[in-house]
Amino acid sequence: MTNIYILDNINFSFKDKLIINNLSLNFYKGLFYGIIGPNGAGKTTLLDILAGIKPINKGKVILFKRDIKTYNRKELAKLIALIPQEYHIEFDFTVEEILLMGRYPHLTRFQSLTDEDYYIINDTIKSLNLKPILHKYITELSGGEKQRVIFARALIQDTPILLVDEGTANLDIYYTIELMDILSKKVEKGDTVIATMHDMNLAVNYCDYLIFLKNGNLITQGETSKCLDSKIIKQVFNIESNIYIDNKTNRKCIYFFRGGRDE
Amino acid sequence: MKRVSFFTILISLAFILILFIILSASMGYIKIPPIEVFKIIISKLCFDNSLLKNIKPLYTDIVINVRLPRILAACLVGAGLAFSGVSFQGILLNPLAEPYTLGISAGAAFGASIALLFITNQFGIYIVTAFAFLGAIFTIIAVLSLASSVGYISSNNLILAGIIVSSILSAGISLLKYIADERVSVIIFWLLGSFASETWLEVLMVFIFVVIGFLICFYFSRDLNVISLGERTSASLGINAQQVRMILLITCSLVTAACVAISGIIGFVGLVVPHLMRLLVGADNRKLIPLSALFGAILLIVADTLTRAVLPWEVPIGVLTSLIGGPFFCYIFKVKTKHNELIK
Repeated sequence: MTNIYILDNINFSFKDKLIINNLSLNFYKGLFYGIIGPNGAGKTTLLDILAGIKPINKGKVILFKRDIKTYNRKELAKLIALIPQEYHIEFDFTVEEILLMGRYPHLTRFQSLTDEDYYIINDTIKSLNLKPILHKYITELSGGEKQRVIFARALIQDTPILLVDEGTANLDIYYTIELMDILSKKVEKGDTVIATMHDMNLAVNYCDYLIFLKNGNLITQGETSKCLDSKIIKQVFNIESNIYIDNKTNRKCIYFFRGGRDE
Repeated sequence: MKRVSFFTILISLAFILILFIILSASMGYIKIPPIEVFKIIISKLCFDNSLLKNIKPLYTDIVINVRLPRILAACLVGAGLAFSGVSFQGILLNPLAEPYTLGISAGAAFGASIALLFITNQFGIYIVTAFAFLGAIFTIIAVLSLASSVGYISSNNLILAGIIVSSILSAGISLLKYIADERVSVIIFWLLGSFASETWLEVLMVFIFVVIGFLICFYFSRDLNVISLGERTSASLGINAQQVRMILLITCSLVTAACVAISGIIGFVGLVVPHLMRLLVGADNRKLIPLSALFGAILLIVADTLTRAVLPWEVPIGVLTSLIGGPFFCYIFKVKTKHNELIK
C-alpha cells in the first residue's frame, strides 16, 4: 500500500498547552479514516497539521515522501482539500462564485477557467444536485445548504487527499448519507479521506480505519472491524455502550446506555 | 436585483468619467465650451499646440492650471477612498468597515490641526498636507502594533485598536480646537474637506499613491475573495491570508493617508460606493475594485462640481457627499431589503 502521510513523533502546543502529544501515525492511499475523540481531544488540530496549516513544534510530518515543510502553499492546495467546521461568510457571493474558487489553486492569478475545470465543476453540481441554488447568495442559504456548498467547493478542488472536519454536523440524515456516499466513492477511486466524526454509527458504517484520540494522545488505532469495542468507548468517552452486529449488514452498531456516564 | 454584465458597467462608467471631467472643466465662473476644453486637454496630452490656435490663452490657463488639478484631485481621491473601502471591508471581514475605520482620518486630522495651529508661514498648505499624511501614518503604526501584541492580527483586534486610537486623537483634536480660540474655524474647515486650491504637485503625489495602490489591490483581489471564506479555507486553497491582509492593509492605509492629506476628511465614499457596486455586480472583488474606483471618482467629481460651479455658495464637499449620497443609499438599501424579504 502506498504511504501518504507519516507522522513521526509530533508535538503541537498553543500558549504553553500541549494539544498533540508525541503522536506517530501512518496513513495509506485509498482508505477512509475516521478520527474519533471527545471535545478538545485535538482532532481539529490534527487535521490542520495534516493540511500543513499549523506548524508543529516537534517531530516530522512526511507527505508523499517529502517533509510537509518543503511544500509551498499552492502545491499543498493541489494535494489536500479541507472542509472546515465553520463556514460563516459575510459577503453576498453567489453559490456559483464560491464553487469556482475551488479551482483557484489550479489556475494562475488572472487565468480563466478551462474546459477541464468546467467539467469538474458541473460534475460536482450534478452529483450534489446544487443546480436549484446555483445563483442564490450564500448569505441567504440555510445552514445545511451552506455546508453542502462548502463541501462541493472542496470536491471541486479535486485533490487526492480530503480532510473533513465534522462535515455533516448540520445535515439531516438524507444529505448526511449523500455526502458520505460521495466520500466513499472518492475512496474507491483511490483518493484518501480523513474525517473527524462525532457520530459513531456513521463512522463504523463508512470508515475503513479508526483513530481514537484523547487529550492529544493516541489511545488506539486500527481497522474498524477489529478495534472498536465497549472497552475503548469507555476509555475514550467515559460512557457505557453496547456494541452488537446488525443482522442485515453484518456491521457493528453502537448503542449508548441512558445514564451511562461515569461521573 | 438582477446583475448587469461587468464589462458593460466598466465601459459605461469609464465613458461617464471622461465626459464628466470635460463637462466639469467647462463649468464655473467663466463658461468655456466643452469642445474647447476637449481640444485643450488633447493638445496638452499630445504636446501638440496646433489645436490651441483659435482658443483664448486665458481659457487654456483656467483649464490647465485652475480647474484640472482640482478635478483630477477629486477623481483620484474618490477612486482611492472607494477601492480602499472595498479592500478594508475584505481585509477586516466586515461590511461596515471603511477607510477611516482604523483611525486614519483622526490621525490625519490631528496632524493637520497641529500644522494649522502652530505653523503659519508661506509653505503652510504643503506643511498641512505633510503633517496630515504623517499623522495618518503614525496612527496606523500605532493601531497595528496595538492590535498585533499577541503576534496574530485578528480583525476584531484591529477594529478595536482603531476605535481606541481614534478616540484618543479625537480628544486631542478637541483640545487643539479649544486652544485655537478664534482660529478654530480654520481647523473645522479643513476637517470638512475641500478640493479648493489643489496644485499639480499634490495631484501628482496622490496619483502615485492611488495608481500603485490600485494595482496592488487589483493584483490581490482574487485572494481577497478566498479570504472571505475564512482563515482555514483560504489556507487550504493555498493562500497566506495573514500575509495578504497585511500587504493590503498597509497599501490601503497609505492610499487613504495620501487622499486625506490633500482633501481633508471626505466621508461616505469609502463605505457606500463599495456597497452600491456590490448591489450591481455581487461580491467578487476582481470586479468590485475597478468599478468602485471609477464610481468613487465620478461621485466626487459631481459633488465637487456642484459645490464649485452650480451652487451659489461653496458647501464643504464632505457634507455634500453625505447629503446627496446618504438618502440615495437609504433608498437603494430599502429596495434591497424588500427584495430579500420577497425571496424568503
